[in-house]
Amino acid sequence: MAVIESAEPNAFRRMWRWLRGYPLIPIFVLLVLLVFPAIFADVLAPHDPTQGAIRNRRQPPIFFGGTWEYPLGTDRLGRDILSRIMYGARVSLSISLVGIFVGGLIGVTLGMLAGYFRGWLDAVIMRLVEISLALPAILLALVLAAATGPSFQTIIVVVAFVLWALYARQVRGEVLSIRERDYVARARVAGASELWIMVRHILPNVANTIIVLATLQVGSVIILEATLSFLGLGVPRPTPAWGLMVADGRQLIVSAWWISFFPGLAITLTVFSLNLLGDWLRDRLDPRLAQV
Amino acid sequence: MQRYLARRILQSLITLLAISVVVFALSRLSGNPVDALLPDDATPEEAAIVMQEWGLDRPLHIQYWSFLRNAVQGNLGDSLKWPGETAMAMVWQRLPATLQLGGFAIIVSTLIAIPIGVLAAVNKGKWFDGFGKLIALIGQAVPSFWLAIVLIWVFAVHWNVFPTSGRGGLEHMVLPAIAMGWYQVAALMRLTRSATLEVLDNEYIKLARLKGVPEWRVIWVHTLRNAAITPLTYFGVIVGYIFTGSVVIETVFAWPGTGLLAIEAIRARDYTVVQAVVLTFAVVFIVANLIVDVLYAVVDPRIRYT
Amino acid sequence: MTKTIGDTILRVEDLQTELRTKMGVFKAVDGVSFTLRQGETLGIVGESGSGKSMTALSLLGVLPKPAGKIVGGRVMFDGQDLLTKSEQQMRRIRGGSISMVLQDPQTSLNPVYTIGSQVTEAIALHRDVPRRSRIGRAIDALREVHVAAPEQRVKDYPHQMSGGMKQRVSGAIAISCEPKILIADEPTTALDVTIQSQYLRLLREIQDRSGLSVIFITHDFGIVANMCDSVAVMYAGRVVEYGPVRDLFNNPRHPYTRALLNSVPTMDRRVERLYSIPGQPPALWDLPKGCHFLPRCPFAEQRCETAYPPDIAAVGLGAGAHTARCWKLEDPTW
Repeated sequence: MAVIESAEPNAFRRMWRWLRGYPLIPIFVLLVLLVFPAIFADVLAPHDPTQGAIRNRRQPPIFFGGTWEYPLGTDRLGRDILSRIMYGARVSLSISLVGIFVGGLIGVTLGMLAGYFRGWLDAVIMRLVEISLALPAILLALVLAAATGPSFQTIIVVVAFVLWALYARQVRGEVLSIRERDYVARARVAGASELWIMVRHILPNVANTIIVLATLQVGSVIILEATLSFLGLGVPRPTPAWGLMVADGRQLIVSAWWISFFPGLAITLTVFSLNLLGDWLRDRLDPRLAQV
Repeated sequence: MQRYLARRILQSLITLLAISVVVFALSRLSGNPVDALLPDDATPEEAAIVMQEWGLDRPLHIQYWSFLRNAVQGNLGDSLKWPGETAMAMVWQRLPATLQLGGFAIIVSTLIAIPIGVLAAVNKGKWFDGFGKLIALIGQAVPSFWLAIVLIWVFAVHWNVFPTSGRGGLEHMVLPAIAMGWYQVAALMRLTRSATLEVLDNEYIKLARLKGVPEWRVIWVHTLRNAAITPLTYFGVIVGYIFTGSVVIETVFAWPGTGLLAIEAIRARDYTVVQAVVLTFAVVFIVANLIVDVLYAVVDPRIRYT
Repeated sequence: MTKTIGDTILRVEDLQTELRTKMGVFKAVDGVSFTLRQGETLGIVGESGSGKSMTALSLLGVLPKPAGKIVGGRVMFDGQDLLTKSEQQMRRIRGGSISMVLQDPQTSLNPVYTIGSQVTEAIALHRDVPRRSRIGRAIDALREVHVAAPEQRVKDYPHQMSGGMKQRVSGAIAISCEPKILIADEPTTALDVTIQSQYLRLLREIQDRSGLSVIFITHDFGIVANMCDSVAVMYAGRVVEYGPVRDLFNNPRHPYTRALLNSVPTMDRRVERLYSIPGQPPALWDLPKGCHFLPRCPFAEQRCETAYPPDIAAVGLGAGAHTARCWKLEDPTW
């Protein structure tokens, strides 16, 4: 049987092949749409996101009768949509990162405790997990927003509340098997404390799971945040959040479609890329998570 | 089976109880609810009278107990902002609209997602599979509120084929159902695809072919019933998503259901009504999950509940 | 044995089946020929990967898709070539005229349907029996395979039965339409030894009663000795030795067969790998030039490296239709 001979790859080709192993388009989209604007919005944004000139309101985007001054048009208060999208990236990214960090921290801690100590602690925590999973996110947001009014903290609480149970369940399952491994037994024989064992021997072994889970969740957290903002349950005006911007343009969809359209497109492209990246990372690091 | 059912019902009740505690605690810990009841210029004496009238001067656990006792009887208090209406009455009045739209969205998205998922599995690696994957990825990336607005823009305003908003005939449900079900289609499709792939690998599928069973029957009878078990477990989650999604979709389409009621109540700071909506949603969600567990046993005879 | 062997009902000629995999395209079945007469039991013996199961699946046209493809040969059944038949015509034959029992009883019944519905399905597909009498036919078929209380059992689900019982049900499905040929693909491998012998007895009993022809796929020479009238030994996609069971046992001609017979396990001494031959069976995508058995053959010579040996008739005791594919057969002293 003939073996297909491949040409000797040159340096450029090798580099290309190496790069091809990574999901380049999603990474590029994320950098351009989410990460750079979030970090450098102050430098990059052509206009102030909260100040607009009334005389410039509802300027159409470029190629639709607009000018380069406002490439994506302006909203009903004359604010530059492009600048607002850039600052909106900051809101989306910071809320998802902080929310995932808080939820992840709580979930991983409780999951490790449940899996490591088992017994009644495990039973109680798992019961809480079930209850928390049974309470849909938006309901909690509704209650919280009704009770305390919308704010950055409220959203973080909602996001953390939605996420912690997923981490707790996954981490617990893995810890249950890790704690039976030899190196854990050896550490215990050597006199290591429970805390030491958990941090030193168990945590590194669930790190992959946590990373994959977190990456897979950024997209859905951004959608959650945008949805809450859209409903007026998220960060209050005039902070430029993507969901709020879509809501702002809702009534004007006929006369000024761009006000809603571009922020929504930004959400879609960002989440789409994040999901692709998450799938890729999962396949690489932890294929068992396919069902999550 | 009966014992299992009893245990599941008990578990559901505990969950419900926990949710009621959360809801109650938030209402009391987040500031004095009397503030919402009183005009801004009320005197402390007036406030004290109102507090006594609403029983807010008693200890929290007693307040919770009476809240719970009333809640079990379906009494969640009067609306704070719409005088003369009880919160539950308002929910009951709006619930049919939500059930109608939600039910329609669930049925339509299931009817779309399951065949596509099965066909994607059968045609694994071919163009149809890729097409399905693309739909799934897009479906999970598009926010429903934005999709709803774009749908209105394109189909209701630009082409004028569906009404923009409100409740009415079937044509009123098409756009909201698409916006609501889109995400579910994506999720359900992926699940169905992977479940079908797993089933297709089994010997009994081979045996069915060896028996001379026609290919369509192998797929839609022998495979589907086994493959349907996984998506079915997901069904309870779907009901939850659809109901919470109703908050968004009903707002955009001005569909007079409980979701819209929740938003109206929040804007009016009418906490009792929000409470009623949330608890109703929780009950619906929990009951849906119970039904799923029972259905599970019907579809999969291997499940024996003990 | 009281059974009588009649005319040829199945003639497989030079069957060739390709598998397309990541490793490349290769022949899983490479020029297999044999005949099966009415009432005869043919054993196809070989280790896993030798192509014995692929041969069976090729006969019925149910190769794994899209990897498998029949690229040559003829399968003559009832005077017609099965390989030229349409999918629809083949469906009528599958389960109707030729049926099959699979290896693992645990997974070969659909868990969500009752036993009754799985047996009646075959009847409904192949026999013109009114709906109401189908269940009666199913019960008869179950009784024939000695399932106790079949009237009750038809309402059961597979998970309520033992492995041996499930395999009987598979058997009932296979014989419910009174096929002419039954292909049994290692039907007893997954069963306990005692259940195994019961099952084999049952198969023989059915055969005596109905004159069924059986193709018995196995890696167990002990079963072959018990059950079969003739044997085809497969190695790396080819039949290396073929003949009546007595001839083959008394006078094995191919070195591979000899080695196999030297390590025959008996019914109570089952061995996973039966070979005293050193080395591994070759990967199908990496076959040696010349004779495929060459790397493991203790008698290898120069000529074995140049070409694959043709079928050579065995001479000597009872040399009827006994052939083997080894150059050694050309030597009078072998």
